[in-house]
Amino acid sequence: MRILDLVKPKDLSRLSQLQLLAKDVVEGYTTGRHRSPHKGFSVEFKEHRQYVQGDELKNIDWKVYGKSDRLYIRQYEEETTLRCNLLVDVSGSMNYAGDKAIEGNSKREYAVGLAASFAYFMLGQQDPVGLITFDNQLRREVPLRSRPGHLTPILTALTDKPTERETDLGSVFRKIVPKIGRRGLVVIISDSMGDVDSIATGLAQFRSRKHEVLFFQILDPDEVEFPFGGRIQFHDLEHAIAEQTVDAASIRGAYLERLEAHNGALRDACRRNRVDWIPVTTDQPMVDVLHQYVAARRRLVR
Amino acid sequence: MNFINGILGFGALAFTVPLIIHLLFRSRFKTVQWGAMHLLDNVLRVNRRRMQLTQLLLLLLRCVIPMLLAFCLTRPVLTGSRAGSGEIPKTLIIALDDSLSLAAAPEGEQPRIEYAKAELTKVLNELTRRDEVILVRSSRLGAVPGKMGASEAANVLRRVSAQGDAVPLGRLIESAVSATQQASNDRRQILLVSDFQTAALDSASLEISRQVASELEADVAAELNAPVIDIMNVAAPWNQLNNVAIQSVELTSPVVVRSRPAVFEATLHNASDTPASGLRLVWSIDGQPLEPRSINIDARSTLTNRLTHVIDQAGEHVVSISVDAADSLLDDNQRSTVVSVADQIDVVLVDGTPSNQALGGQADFLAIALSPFAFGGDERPDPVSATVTSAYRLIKQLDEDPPHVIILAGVNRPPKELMPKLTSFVRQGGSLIVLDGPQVTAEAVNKSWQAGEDQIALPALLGEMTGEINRQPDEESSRYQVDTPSSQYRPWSILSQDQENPFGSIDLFAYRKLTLPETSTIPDDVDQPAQQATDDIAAQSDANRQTSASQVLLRTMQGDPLVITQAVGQGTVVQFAFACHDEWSNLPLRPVFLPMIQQMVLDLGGHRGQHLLSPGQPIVIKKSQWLQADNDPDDSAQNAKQSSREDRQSVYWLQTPDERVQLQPVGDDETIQWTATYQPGLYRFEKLTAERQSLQPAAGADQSKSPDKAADQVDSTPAESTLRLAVIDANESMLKGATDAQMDEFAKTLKAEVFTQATSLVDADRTRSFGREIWFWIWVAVVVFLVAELWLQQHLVRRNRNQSASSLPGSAHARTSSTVGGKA
Repeated sequence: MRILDLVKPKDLSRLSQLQLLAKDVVEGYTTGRHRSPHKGFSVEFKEHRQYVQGDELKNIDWKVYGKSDRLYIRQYEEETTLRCNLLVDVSGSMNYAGDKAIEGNSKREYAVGLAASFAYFMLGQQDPVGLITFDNQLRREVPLRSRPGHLTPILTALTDKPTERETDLGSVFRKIVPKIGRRGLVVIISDSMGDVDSIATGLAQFRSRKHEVLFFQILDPDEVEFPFGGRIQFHDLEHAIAEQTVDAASIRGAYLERLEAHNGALRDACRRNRVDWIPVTTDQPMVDVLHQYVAARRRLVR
Repeated sequence: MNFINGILGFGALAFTVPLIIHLLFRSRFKTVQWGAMHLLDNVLRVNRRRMQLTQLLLLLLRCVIPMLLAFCLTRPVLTGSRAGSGEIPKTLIIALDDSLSLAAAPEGEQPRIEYAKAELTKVLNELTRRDEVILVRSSRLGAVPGKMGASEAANVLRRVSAQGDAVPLGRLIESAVSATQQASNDRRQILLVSDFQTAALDSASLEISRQVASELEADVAAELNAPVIDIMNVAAPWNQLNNVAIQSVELTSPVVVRSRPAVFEATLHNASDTPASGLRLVWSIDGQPLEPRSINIDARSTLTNRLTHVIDQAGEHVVSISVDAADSLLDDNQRSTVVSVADQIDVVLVDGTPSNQALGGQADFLAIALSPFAFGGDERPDPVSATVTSAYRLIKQLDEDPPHVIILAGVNRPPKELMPKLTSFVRQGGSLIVLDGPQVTAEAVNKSWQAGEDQIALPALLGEMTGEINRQPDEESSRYQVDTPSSQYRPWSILSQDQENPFGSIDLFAYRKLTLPETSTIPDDVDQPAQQATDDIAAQSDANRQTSASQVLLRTMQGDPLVITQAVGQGTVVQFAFACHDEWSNLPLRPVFLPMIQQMVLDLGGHRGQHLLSPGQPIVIKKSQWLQADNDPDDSAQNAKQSSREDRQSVYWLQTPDERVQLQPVGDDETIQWTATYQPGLYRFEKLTAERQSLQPAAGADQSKSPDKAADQVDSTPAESTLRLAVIDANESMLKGATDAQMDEFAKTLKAEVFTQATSLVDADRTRSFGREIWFWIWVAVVVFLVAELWLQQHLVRRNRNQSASSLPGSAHARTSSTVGGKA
């Protein structure tokens, strides 16, 4: 599996120009492009502060002591790496593919592309990237690595055989939280079908571990607009329930109301937990989505 | 229910087409592999139920529409519980109320009778040649209605005018039902056309209607052919009718005597809401108008106008009154009456105990009271000519020159020869007054006056004397008081005009106990004119009738009768329980005595022939009712005798309001009859002597018209004549409609439908005959169902689709997508 199987070369070139900056400071081991909250051994001076008891003597700036006869501690800027965990929903509902999606991609294919782009881009920054796929259980786990060859196991895991199981984001998040050790960036790619309260609980647990969370909600344009009419029989992609033939036009209003309520509740849950919620439809070019997002983040950080 | 195109009913099978389409399309649907099912779950369940209902409703509508369409094409006809009579010929009995009230015309419109005729003509135009019509008019209930065709009936109808008298509608419908017996066709329809005045639908009328309805029900139960009754109400809105009417013209004087003033009274009523001012009112005598008067009548009020007038010639005269008012009903703005003007009234007094001394005889006080001017030396003529004579002279006088009134004062035993002559005199219209006297004994009088074949009885039997005849009024003796006279006796009503007892100062020393036969007395409070009219009609219809009920005119305070009157034949007998002498009472010495006796004698002597009749009522003229047309008072008795001798050579003519007709007497007693009095107005009967008859051409058949030339000659010199006046009841001028309750009850009783227009009546009759075609309503139902189907499809099925098209840009996710990149 190669990245070019998932991402077009043109998109890859645009992707390489991206520099994903965590809005919050992310702690890391390796020296990277991300600023660390730890003051350490670095060439970039940050500030002086007054000596207090317990500070190591080696950090005292003796030159200042010589000039002012006071003890100051010299502090430096420390750079760190961004630990990125990709959580990709591979449940049955992600298999829906509408007519309006780009190249007729299903939501899962879109999500895979998006996750691969992220992985490629993060590895390009030499940031460690890990992957967890799930439905109502954890399916595949790829540990955090920062070497370029790590892209292959990630792509392999992403393109694994899809499941037709239902989604349970809340319980899956609670299982994932202990597995992600130190704080870092968590990117969730899902259609978020499920109980919003349960999802909110999971998100809160991520945030309690100081993770920065990006929630990409992937929906097909059909799911947003519900453009169906006439007699339609809806088959559930996750459950084998009795098939019901309905007049699609007559249920559109009720469906859209419910979707609006669901998205509203999800938006509120994300806002409460300071999670970035990015709704995406599969008719939007994924690189454009990433570009827009990163550009917006840059503006905020500065 | 019948079907005109029943075969087309198989078209209803077309309902299978939408059913098959539905079943075919039921299996056609699109399958979508859907992920966001948790958002659809509940919606699907609710929608599925709703969709099932909607689809079922649509399927039902789509199946019903072709079925209804096929039903409509079969042209179903509702015929009710029984089959329609179809083209069976029918007999239409038109019961037309042509009373005067239908001549009323609202302002700017034609009279209601014209409207009724126009509507009836429309009904007649719908009849076929095989149908027949019987016209029953309320003004001619006595006439035998004839059968005719529709076109002839239309011609007859054109000549109908509203001049009839008030007739209860019950009687009209009764006559119409009787007329159905003449119907040739099995199918019969009675059409009652009227304006339904409230007076024509009184309780009596409703009772007759109930009887008619029960008879019809009995006919139906016996499976006889009962007619269908329809009602056409042609009344105008009653509140649009403003009417000033002369309700009555009456003579208030007891009698009209030649050259003496007589008082006439007319009652006018303004039924409108606006006062009528400056109306020109004209009295006229025999067509000669008097000085016009100007009157004002307030709104909804009644006015009485009096005329005091002297008529110089004896005989029958027409007194008319007319008022110029532009109102809805013009025909009642004039009204007439006929009065008999008497020559001097001849009174013969027979004194039972004549005396040579002044005021000693029993008849002396009476003679003075009856001729006060002659007694006082006044030059003015007395209306009464009183002569005192003996019983034997009276016998002769009765043969030669019978007086108007005979007074027997204290006659104990009338001569036997006198009794049959008195009987004949009274039965032919003479009046007899019998007074008590000192020589009178109860046994003798009761024996003399016994009712028999050729003899009349006194109203009461004489009993014992009460009190004593007081030859010296100064002495203390028992005295009796006299009660107020009967208020119903009109001649004496002028005595008690101040509401006090006019006999309060009268002391009665003695009177005779009078015993009235049982069940022959009528109460004092019975309406005297009504009784009088009843008696007169009875007298006309039953010539052999002997006596009628007696009436007490005067009583003592104790209640004993003092004066009793009784009609016998065409005459009257009055019996006094005392003598008019100062030994019996102080009455002859009191001022009340003179008007009391004068008024009574004038009333008795006046000719009280029945001159007025209702239109349609037959006229019968008896031999004794002819009056001398040559109005010479001196020769009247002689001429009467002469004419009676020449009766057999007489020719009789009648001038009706429209034409002049020669009549033939009926039977041996020279009685003249005329039944066609349908036209209100004056009917002048004339009798010509034999010599004058020779001037006339040969007489035609009974009641035939005569040539005009002969009529002119006869008209110029009538020998004897008498007048009859057909007048319409004042109720016809009261333009007030029956209440809804009355109408409902009347229609319900007769099980009749009420119509106001001929078109609706014709439609209803057509429905009865052929049934009611209901295809139009089914067609309306088809259209409604089509619209409902379209609406259902557009609004319930397509609505959400339209909404989806209109709300695409504003979908929830589209809005939220624009926030990409921002912190949510």
